[in-house]
Amino acid sequence: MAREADDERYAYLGAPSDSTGWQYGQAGSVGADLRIDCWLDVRDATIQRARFEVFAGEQARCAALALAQWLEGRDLEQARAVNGLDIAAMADMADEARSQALCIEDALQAAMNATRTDRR
Amino acid sequence: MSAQPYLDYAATTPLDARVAAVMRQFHGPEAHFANPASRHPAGRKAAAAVAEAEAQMLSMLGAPGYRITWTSGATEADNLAILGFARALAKRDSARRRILVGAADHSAVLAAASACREYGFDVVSLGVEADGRLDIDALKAQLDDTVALVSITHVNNETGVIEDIAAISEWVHAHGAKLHVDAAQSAGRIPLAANAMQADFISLSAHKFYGPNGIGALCHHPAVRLEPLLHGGGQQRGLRSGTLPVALIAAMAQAFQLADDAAEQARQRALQTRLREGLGNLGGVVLNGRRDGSAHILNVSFAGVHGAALQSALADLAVGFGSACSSHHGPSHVLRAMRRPDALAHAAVRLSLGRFTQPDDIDQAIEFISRVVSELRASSPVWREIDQGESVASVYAVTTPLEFA
Repeated sequence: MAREADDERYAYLGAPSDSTGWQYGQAGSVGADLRIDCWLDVRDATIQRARFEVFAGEQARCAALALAQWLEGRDLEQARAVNGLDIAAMADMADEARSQALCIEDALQAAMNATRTDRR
Repeated sequence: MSAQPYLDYAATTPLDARVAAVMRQFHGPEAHFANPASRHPAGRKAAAAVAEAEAQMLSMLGAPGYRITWTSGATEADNLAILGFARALAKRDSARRRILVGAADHSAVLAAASACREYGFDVVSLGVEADGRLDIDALKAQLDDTVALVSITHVNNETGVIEDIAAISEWVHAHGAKLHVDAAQSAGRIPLAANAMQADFISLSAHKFYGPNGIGALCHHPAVRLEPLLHGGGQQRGLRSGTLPVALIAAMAQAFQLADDAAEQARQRALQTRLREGLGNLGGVVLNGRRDGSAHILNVSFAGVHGAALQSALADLAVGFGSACSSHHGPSHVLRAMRRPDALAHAAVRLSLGRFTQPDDIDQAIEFISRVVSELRASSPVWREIDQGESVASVYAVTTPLEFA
């Protein structure tokens, strides 16, 4: 069971092994002790795959994982409508962790506004 | 993990069986259970046990002629030394009205010094270097004939950094000030000679060296004046009222006599090196302290790992995050004083070893921590940048030198 959970995390957390063609955005900073990076594989205005890199606490990791799973197969309009409250609700985040949900939202928005990248 | 290694000896140590045996001698109706303030034979026997314990402590400390005031622990001893001395000076209207403390000192020292402001004292916090050692130039610059007391931690409870008390003592006494040494982490671990250190006050805590909880001591020079913090029956020359806990006192003296010898210190140093090198293999592991610090404490920060995530993942491992003696959360004031950025200070782990630590404990901890750190780094954007060639100092905007494990 634990292994399955780990596999699920690896599928959605961390940078893509080959980031060619992915859209990338980041929010937060090391100085703020909170940084979220978002990677989106978008084709025909639909999110094929989504991944998050998380420099934050466990609740933010859970929220990013839940959001990445939810984003798969959604069109960009649906993704643009997601806000921090939705993200916090997805992972049942405590009130004091909600600033992290806003950071996840910012990273998602930044990735959606980015152009496809050829970075690896 | 199959078994939980205990690597939090700096927070507290288990009671040594030999110490527990001494305590049992004072339990039960046939034992020396009486109040040592009583004048009957049973009371006199209890008083003799306390006197013997005091003699043992002073002998081990190399401090003949000093006094021992028994306290509930090092926190109370720190308060009695700092606040008790300040109140005594205030009562005499002394012109010495400044107290110097180390910015990386234990919160018991910092809070006690801060409380002295009520009596008209100025408190100056002395900075530390990036490796955790006291900034000696800052100390020298502050010393003058208005300084009443300087308080220094012998071995820092978070980093294990050892201060050169003998040298500091010379400068302090040259200006007529008194020196308090918080020896909670050094007592029982490294040689501690009051005469050699020339300290006027030394704070001790039994549970840090395999004695029982609830007993500590302030060892002080007989020439210094103190005002009591606790009032009542006038026990302990009026300095600390309250019935003496004879079993705890005898146990503390016994625990102090069983202090780590050179062989045990070398054994712990070898284990600490094994731990530092094992964790260092991960790369990006910042040493918070010095390699020549106390053998029982290793403090490292894992670059690229978020502190809160690390603490959640290591919740089942008996290690320290900041000081267990403080209820405050967030990055430690010690690491902040060393100018570690909050994100790096937040990702610090204190691993502290002891008499019962075995190589297997070290290997288990290395394996478990390495797995956790690798997993967290695999999804960290900060670690990705470091892994791609950015330096830790650049990513964290550190402006002071960093040493890696």
